[in-house]
Amino acid sequence: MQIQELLQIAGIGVLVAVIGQILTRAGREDMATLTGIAGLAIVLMLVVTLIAELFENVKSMFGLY
Amino acid sequence: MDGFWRFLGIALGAAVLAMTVRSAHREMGAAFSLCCGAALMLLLMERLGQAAAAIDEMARLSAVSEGHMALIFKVLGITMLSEFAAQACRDAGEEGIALRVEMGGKVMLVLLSLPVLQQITQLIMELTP
Repeated sequence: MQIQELLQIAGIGVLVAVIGQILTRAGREDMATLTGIAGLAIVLMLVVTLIAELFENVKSMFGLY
Repeated sequence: MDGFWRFLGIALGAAVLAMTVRSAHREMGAAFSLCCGAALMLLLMERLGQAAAAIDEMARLSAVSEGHMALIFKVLGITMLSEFAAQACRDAGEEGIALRVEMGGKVMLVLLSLPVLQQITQLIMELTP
């Protein structure tokens, strides 16, 4: 359940890095930075949902409203 | 007990994976280590729930009043989360932000424990002639 998201994020990270390298080799540095930023945005979305789930869990367990 | 070995394996695997992601893409590494921390804590939540229920049960038998137990649980939750956030900031290399987060956690703790402190001071006032 949480492990899939972990591996997903690792995969996206490595993939974005590889695509960035390919794009820079092809001489399109601007595209490379854009893909980097896009990849980071996707990863941050995944991380935010995971953190939200963790905070909800802790809040409900410890009575923190 | 069996889930614990799986938990350790996941933690070690995630640490190595975090290094590779960090070397491939610096910002992604910080996001990934934050996500590892959250995932590992989520894995612990179920066991933590059992421990919290057991402590709650013991407290109900003992003389500790319901309000104080709830306060203790709140303090536990706040310290756990603020420690998690502070360490995540340190992993990302932001020592300053980590200190602010910890200070925020401390302020929340002081706010929470104010009523108890007031009770104690009143008690002391009554005792001393």
